[in-house]
Amino acid sequence: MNVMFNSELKKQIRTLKEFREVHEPRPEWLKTNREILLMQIKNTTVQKEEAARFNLSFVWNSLDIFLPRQVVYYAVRPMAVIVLVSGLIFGSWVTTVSASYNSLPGDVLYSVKLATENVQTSLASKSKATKLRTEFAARRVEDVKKIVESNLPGKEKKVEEAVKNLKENLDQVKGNLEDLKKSTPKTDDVTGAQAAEVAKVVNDKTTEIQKSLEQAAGQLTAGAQVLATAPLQEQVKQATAAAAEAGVKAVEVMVEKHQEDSNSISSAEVRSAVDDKLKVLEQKVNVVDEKLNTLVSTSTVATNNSSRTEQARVETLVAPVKESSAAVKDVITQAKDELAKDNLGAALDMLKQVTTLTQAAETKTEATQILAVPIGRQAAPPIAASTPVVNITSSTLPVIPSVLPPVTSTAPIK
Amino acid sequence: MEKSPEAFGKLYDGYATRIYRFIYFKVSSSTDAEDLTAEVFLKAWQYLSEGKEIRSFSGLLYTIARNQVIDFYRRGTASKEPKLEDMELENLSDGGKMKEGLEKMQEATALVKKLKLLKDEYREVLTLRYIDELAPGEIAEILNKSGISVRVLIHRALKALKKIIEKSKNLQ
Repeated sequence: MNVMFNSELKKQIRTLKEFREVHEPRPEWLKTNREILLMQIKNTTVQKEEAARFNLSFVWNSLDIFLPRQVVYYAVRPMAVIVLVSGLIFGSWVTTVSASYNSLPGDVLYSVKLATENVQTSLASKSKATKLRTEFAARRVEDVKKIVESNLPGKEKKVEEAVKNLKENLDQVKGNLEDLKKSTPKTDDVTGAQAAEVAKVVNDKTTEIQKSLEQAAGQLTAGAQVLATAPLQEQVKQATAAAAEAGVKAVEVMVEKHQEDSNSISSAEVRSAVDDKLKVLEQKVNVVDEKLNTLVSTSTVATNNSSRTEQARVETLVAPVKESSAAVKDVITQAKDELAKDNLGAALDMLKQVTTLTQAAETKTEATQILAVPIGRQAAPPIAASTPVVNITSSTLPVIPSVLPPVTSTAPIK
Repeated sequence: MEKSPEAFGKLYDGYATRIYRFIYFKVSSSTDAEDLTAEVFLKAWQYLSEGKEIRSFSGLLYTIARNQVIDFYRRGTASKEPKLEDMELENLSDGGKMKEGLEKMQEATALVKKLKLLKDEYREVLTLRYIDELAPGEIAEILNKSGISVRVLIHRALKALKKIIEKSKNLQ
């Protein structure tokens, strides 16, 4: 009986659901209140971003890491304007920002992304702006990677745009580092430790950027889909060089700040930064040497008819480059000696020298690779066809307009 | 949890009606219930944006709602609340949209009136269980009680409601 009554009662309470008018909110109120609520909480998000400055999960993680409270406050407001305008077209605040964050060159929102970045840097202090620029350069490298891996039409143009912005950011970083190098706590409100900290970040990031760019350059030329035209390859190379230069500049700042005040950055840290750079350069020189040796050995195989003359020709070509690579190695050894003696200034000068010399050696090697291909290769099909090694060499050639070897007189005609 | 305004909008869509109802059964005036519901969601957002950890979002909402109602009575705003009878007349008068007959509607309003006579704890548990159709486990989380005590509470609430209904029948 009691059970019966209970179930009847439960049923009765459940029927209340059908009479929404009695206990449910008006749909129009629900809707307007939702709008008001969202408006109110969007107003509070500015404060929220301040509080969550170090929250890495936040969408603009770089913003969280690098910007001080005031800047976030003043940067977010102008950004909100940009976002609101595009929000009119593309929907809500959040969608627009995250969409622009993932946008690639050619997308409508790409300009929103760049504009947002510019606002951020323009409002930040010099040291913060430098970090931000480095971060943005790293983002462009990510963009390049994404484009290369995608099936988007007009990849080349898109890569070009990203690389252009990448280089602009890196150039800016270089300029800022120069200013930071000269800065003093009194006049520029930047302590030596702060400047050294920025330099460390730039040094780490640019090393990564350099590596990624070299990989991307490989992807651009490899495989059936050769994406890169000569100017684009040149651009990528320049951007890579800019990253290397920014890295060296960062080490320069570290050395300078250490010499000004050894409390700003320890000598061990500076030493390891210089040492890392030297190691990377050493590897590059080794790669150059390998390339040169391959050239000589393949020239012997390639031209079995007149191998001696051909080998002699290639050796003549390779010899000066080998000399310069040996010279680079020499300077690297000297730099390491200076480093061991804690002569940071001298080691730094040598590091700068090695950087330039390595770049020169790399360029010379590329030119030699072109010159070393026997000019009779195409005129003598039996040789070329029977020697796959020649084909490999020619396929790895950089795309540069055909250059006639200057040593034609020594080259075999047949 | 994704702390974006849009995500919060979705949470609002999912919980606004329930929270409104939860409050409505306590304050009796739809205007007050609307105001308090709006405040609950704003407070919940503030809580979330402070980065505080929460175990259950619904638990948080109901806790804030309960506190809001307590504050509401403390402020003395409750005295202005219209009488239950007026409310029901109001509801009946704009009941043109009703699909069911007037008689059923009257039954429903009478039941709401009886529910409102129950003590807070009982009314909460009954509406959560039978109108919102929440599992005892969920209710336990919201009310910060154990599952067993929620079952006991439901049982007692039904008993109390039965008593009220029987009393009113006797009066008739």
